Parts: sequence; C-alpha cells; structure tokens
Amino acid sequence: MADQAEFAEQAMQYMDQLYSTALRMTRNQADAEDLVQETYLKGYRGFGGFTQGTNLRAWLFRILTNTYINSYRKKQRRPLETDLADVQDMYLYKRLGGENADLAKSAEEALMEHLTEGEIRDAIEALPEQYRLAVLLADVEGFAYKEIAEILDIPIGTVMSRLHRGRKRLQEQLTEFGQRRGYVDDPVDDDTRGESVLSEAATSLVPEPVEAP
Amino acid sequence: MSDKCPGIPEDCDHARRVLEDAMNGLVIAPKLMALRNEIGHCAPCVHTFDLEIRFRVAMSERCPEQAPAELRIRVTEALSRVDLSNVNISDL
Repeated sequence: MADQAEFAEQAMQYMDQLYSTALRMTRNQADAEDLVQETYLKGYRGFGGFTQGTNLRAWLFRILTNTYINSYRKKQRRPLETDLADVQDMYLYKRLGGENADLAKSAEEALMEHLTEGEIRDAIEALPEQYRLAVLLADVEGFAYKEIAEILDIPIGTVMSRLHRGRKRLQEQLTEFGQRRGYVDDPVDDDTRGESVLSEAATSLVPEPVEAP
Repeated sequence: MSDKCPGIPEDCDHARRVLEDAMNGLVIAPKLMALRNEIGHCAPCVHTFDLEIRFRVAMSERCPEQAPAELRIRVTEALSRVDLSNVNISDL
C-alpha cells in the first residue's frame, strides 16, 4: 500500500477544490465535509493503484463524484432532477486586448459585474444534477472535456451536450436574477435582446451535440 | 472555414468550433487570443466569444470556497488512524 504521508502530501492541496465542488453537489456544508473526508479515505485506500505521473486531481474528483452519486445523492433533501432535455489569465487576456476597452458596457457586461457570488452559487445549485456536475467540473474547476468524460464515465458527446444545456440554463437563471435586481432590462422592454442576454450568447455559439444513449 | 463566416454567430460552424476549443480546459490567455484571432474578422462572433469567456471566468472566480480548517484537521487525523478496510473500492 502506498505511503499515507506521500498520499497526504500530494492530495491535500486539492481539498479546497474538492470541498467547493462537494458543497455545490450536496448543497449542504455538513454533507460536503463528510463527502470530502470519504473521498480522501477512499483515495488513500486506492492510492497504491494510482499511477504516479497521471492526473491525481482528476482521479480524486472521480472518487468524489462517484461517492456523491452512489451515496450522498440518495439522502439529498431535494428530489433528484433527471431532466436531460485561470483568473490571472483573464487579466492578461484583457491586457492583450481580448476585450474592447472602448466599447460601451453592454447589458451582459453590466450583469456579469453586478452578480454576486451568492447569486451565481444559487444558480448553479438550482441546475439539474447532470448539468450541475458538468458545469462545475468544466467552468469552475477547469477540467477538459476528455477529463470530465473520464470523471463522470460518460462519452465526450454527452459531456458537451450537458455543458451546453447547463450553461444555457445557468445563463438564463442569472439573467433572471439580473432582471429582478435591475442589472439588466426586462426582456419585454428590449426587443433586440430576446429572452436572455446571456443565454442568447450561449445558444449562438456553444454546440449542442446529440446526447449519447 | 473562416472566409465563409455568415456574420451570424449561430450560423457559423467555424466560430462554434473555435469557442468549443476555447472552453476546453483551463482558461489560458495566449490560447484564447490565438483562437479569438481566428474569428477576428467577424465582430458578432468575437462579441459572443468574449461573452462566453467572461461568463466562464466569472464562474471560476466567484464559486471557489475554502475548506474549513477543522475539515483539514479531521481528514488528516482520519487518514492517520481510521480503519480503511471497509471502504467501497467501487468508487475508485
């Protein structure tokens, strides 16, 4: 069996990320803490079979996800929804001219500036589970499509389909928050924007592959 | 490809593929800029590209949480003394 100290040395650095995802999965702090602890215990138990040099972070997230799906989901208070219908780099991206500084602030920009952490978290937690897991792994944790497919044990096409639908729903939800709080205009007053300023963007470019069976 | 862009993001297969690449994995500035330049001739596609990236960055900036210090202690102690023989190996 692998050395416990070696496992702790390599794996403990991911605790914040695992906890963040666990919290959004379980929507409950006590459950999230238990889920993370169980993930580490299982990770330690299986660490002897882990191939050094491969992706330990993705391996731990796979354990977290499987443990959640197999155990914690069953005791969630809310019914299970089955509907299937690097920050620093962004600063550099802006400095490189990735955004037009002279452009007047659009409704989308205003919305993204005003949305609170709590509103974004609420919107994520309101997503159906399949979408929520894909969006958390992709947009919050930055995993690649292939890694997400391995973590969730689903085809890449399914990952992309869930991401597309999840992002679209999330953006619709956030636009609604923005409208209620007056960050963006009500859609009935703006016939050039359609139903959702953000979901409009999501719909226009993010592909919607066919969900694999 | 790019010279066939209809100027409408939803009808542009190339812009769709570029955004798909941009959203695959971590947000890395040089990669984003290179991809953005590929659709730079089309203002609507670039606008949509920027919105999607901004949305993605907002997700990664505003969602992370810090694990409670007690959890760190709890896990460290558990790893050092808990009997691990009853762990369900199927989740690995």
